Amino acid sequence: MTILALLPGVQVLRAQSLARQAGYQYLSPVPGGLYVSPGTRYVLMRFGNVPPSAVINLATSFIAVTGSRSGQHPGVTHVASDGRTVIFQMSESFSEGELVTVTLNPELKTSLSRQLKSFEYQFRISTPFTESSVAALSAVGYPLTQGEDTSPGGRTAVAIPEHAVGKTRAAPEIMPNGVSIPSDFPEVSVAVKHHPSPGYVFLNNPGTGGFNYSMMLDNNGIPVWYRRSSYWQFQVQEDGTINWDGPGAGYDQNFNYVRSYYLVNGYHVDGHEIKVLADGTYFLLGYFFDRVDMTRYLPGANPAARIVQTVVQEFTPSSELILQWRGWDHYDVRDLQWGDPLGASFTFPHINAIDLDEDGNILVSARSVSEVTKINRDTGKVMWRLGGAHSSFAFVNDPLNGFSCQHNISALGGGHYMVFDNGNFHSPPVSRAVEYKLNLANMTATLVWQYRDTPDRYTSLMGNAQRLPSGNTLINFVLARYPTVIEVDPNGVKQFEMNVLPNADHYRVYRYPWHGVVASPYLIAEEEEDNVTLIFNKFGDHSVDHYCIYGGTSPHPTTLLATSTTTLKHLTNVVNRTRNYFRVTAVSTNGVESDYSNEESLDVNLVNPGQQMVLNGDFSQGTNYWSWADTGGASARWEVANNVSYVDISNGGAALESLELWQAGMPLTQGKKYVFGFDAWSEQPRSIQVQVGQVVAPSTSYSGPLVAALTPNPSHFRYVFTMQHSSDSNSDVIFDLGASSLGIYIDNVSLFSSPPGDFNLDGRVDARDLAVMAGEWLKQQPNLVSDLDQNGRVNFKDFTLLGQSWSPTSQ
Amino acid sequence: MDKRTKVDVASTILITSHLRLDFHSFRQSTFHISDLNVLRKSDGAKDKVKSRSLLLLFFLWGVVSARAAVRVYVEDHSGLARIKYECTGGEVVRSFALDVTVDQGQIVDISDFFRGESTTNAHGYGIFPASFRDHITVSTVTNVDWEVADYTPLAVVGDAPGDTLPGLGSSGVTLEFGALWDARVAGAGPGSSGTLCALAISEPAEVSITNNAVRGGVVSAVADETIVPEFSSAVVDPTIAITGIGETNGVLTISFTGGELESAPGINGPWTGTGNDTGVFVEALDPNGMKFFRVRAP
Repeated sequence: MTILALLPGVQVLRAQSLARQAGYQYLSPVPGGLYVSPGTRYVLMRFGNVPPSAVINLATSFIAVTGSRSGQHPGVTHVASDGRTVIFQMSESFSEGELVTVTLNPELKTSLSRQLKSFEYQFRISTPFTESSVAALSAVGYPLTQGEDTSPGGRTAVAIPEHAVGKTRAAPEIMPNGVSIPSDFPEVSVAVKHHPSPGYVFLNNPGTGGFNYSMMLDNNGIPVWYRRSSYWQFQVQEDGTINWDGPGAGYDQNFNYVRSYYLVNGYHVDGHEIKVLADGTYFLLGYFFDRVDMTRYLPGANPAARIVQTVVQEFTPSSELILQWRGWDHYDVRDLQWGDPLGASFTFPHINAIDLDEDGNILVSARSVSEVTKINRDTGKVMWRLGGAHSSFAFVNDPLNGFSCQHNISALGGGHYMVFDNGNFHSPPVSRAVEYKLNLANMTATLVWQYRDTPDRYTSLMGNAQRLPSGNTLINFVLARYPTVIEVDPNGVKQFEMNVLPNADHYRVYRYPWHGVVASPYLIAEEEEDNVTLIFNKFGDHSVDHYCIYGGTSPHPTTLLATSTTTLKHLTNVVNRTRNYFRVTAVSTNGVESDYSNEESLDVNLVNPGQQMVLNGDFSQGTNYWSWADTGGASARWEVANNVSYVDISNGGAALESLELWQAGMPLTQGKKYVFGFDAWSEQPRSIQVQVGQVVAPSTSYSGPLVAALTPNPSHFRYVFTMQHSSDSNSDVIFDLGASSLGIYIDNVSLFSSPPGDFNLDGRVDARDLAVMAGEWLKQQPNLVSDLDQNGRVNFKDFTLLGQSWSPTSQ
Repeated sequence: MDKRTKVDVASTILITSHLRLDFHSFRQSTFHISDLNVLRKSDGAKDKVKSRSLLLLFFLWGVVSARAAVRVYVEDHSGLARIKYECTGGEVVRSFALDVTVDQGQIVDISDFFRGESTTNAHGYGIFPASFRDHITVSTVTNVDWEVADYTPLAVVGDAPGDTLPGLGSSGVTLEFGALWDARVAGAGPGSSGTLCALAISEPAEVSITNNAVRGGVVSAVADETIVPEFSSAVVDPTIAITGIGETNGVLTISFTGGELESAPGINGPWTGTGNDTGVFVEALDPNGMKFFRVRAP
């Protein structure tokens, strides 16, 4: 018989029923399936009462697959390592929109021939949506993992407090547990800490420097492990593998790479969830872009809708596909709750979570239809549906009468299940963690526990709830304006609350134990104005005696630059004005040196405190390094004579900026204090404007425009300013000389950063500065000039900061 | 530790004909002792020297096996309590703020401290902020007079009355030692070990050291690093000491107290008693020789 279903859902069920009558318990692609991926390379089969070994012609003439346009697809048949699933693997893709016929002709021993009959069925290949308009799909909240912007913060329009977004730490630092963190590492605070569960909080947060951080945080908010990672989920699987840099890779507890996970049949990896069982069996979510004529299902719908279909694929530990379960085959697109089925683009059914029930069958969370579905892992049949338009259960004791657009599902055992209920269609919308007990006899789902925060929280997307071994529940309400994570006890009492800045949406947050020791340090390099700062940690290792820092101007450096007993080092012994490469090892207390860390490199351009940044500031090299422009009708002759710069002005133009002398290339660092000075005089008294900033648009002035009143007598002018803007490695020293025809002389231009301890701002730290500190020695009051660590008291902690810049006889 | 226990080798001095012999230089830096080597090789069987030597050796092994740290310790040197430091893990210390106490008697004098900036030519912790404030006048930055008589590491009680020990003439002193050096000049910093100062005490006593927290304690030269100092005390007996050395016309005069003067051709011995316990030893200098002296307690 031949089955071709034109409608998904019900027709598929009918076709599958016929297949089962023929002895085929599971087939993939399913008989009557629509919108099947053209990249399908595997046909899967499970027989009801016949072992695969009973099929005599299994490897020869048992199966034939033919596309209506692409023709016959030869392949290889074998039995998967589960001993149950027959896999027919093809080498060519199908043509778009074609009808594919699968013919099964088993040859069996006579005694079994009635158990498995010849069967033929068809499925229709999808017409893929070929426009690579991923942005449009991202706009509807679909997480993608093929290099698109998938950060949670990038997918939702959330009002983030301005004061929180830009929060950065001033510099790298060492945390109380000895772990060092870079300057863009998120700030973490613990608002509530009563009796939190043991273990570490696993999450991913955008830093402030363009890097996301996956991190483990202890109950004091101190990181014990972190890596820069753009993947927004950080979880530990049942087999102990860890996913932190994407769903496609697993690492052991020491963060050694273990293996990769790949989807097949033309599906892309969907980062929503990966589930790895204790034996290594794993489940992946995938997505595929369809172009669907939705008018077939809904009058007035889009005839060429872009639909993201989702699929669940199960693999053996050896990466054999043994189950494929597509949303199109088991849900009715007309039941869509989240997303507009009449619209041009939506996801269906947006499966966002997987779990295994205690009987080994599969649970999936289908957000678009507000349904948790239990799937028979052997047959692919739906066992029950919880929630949505076709719920198998009546909700009891739930004032909200079920969940809406949920984001995760957890089987708690004993017939208990917990979801994170986003609550999009509750009135008013409210999110919660909610636990139900299912009664399969009278088909009720009784609410036995829930947590709604006070005040209520609502997040339309993402989120999760994790039941911990302690009985507490960890909940992530996602949005930047909410606490990053809370932990509540069974009575709903908040035992823990942690906040992470910069405020950002957090996809999911978990708590796990961790006892790993990484094999080699993790290195991050930052360039400061006057040093290269290396941040390195051999996470989890308490036997590190010291670190060895290797560097050079070529990759893979082996030259030892320094050692450090701490996890942070400021280096000045680097090669300036070129690219430097760094890597680090850890040496244990018994003298064993680890492997090298990751290698980092930087283009180093250090400017030491007090170092003159202006080139040819005394004009001894003529006009070298300086630029000159007259605009707006101004006219002047600029020359250098006798090592003095002279501007002979015939027409000063309308504005001071009409005549400009400037030098580019001044690196300024945010927060640092600079001293800008020069000698100047004029033919007759007049004013000029000077500044350090940008000579081109947006013409930001970092020093602020400064006015110098010139006279015929040479005078020295000095201005002190602190760089309040973001660091600029190429700012300009600018003299605005227009608006007057009086000639000007300029000489000895200087710009330097004032090092810590340079209290008299002469560019060096010497005995005069020491005298200032000594004058305030042990004083305890605010605003002491030599209180360099700003703790309100001047002591040796400040002295050490002064000492780092001590340069009494230089210059 | 029995406060009467005394490691006699600390009294050892080296005499050569090339040394300028005066009491001041003796106290400061002339007679350094490699005590660990001496102790390991000591063969003074069954005498007090050996038994005390083994005790000190055991202590040092314990330090070596422990995690690297900055040791700050007391050493009896000719009856003076030398305050010494040793960075065992590559640390560089910027400053020491220390409280030093004796369990009986008084601290009566301070000497043997470095002055001024640390350079390639002269290393040490010679910046004493309170004393700098009170006694140093900065006329030009390249010509600071660090030799002002009152410029010492002694803290000023008035700076932090509740956190400063009374000073000389009492049972405790608070000391401030800082080091400043040009980091761009290789080898300018203070050494990884050395003597901070020597304290004279009025009678045998156990000399102890602790952090002076309000002044910062022991502070790393690297702002991000936290130093974990290990302090250890020692018994110092000023009654057993070489108290003076003089040379006139090739004749050496050694003043000592507390026992018999012994001599040896090398730091490791063999030690021979001079038979002199009078407190004054006179001998013609050997123009080509080298000789070590120490006082053995009776």
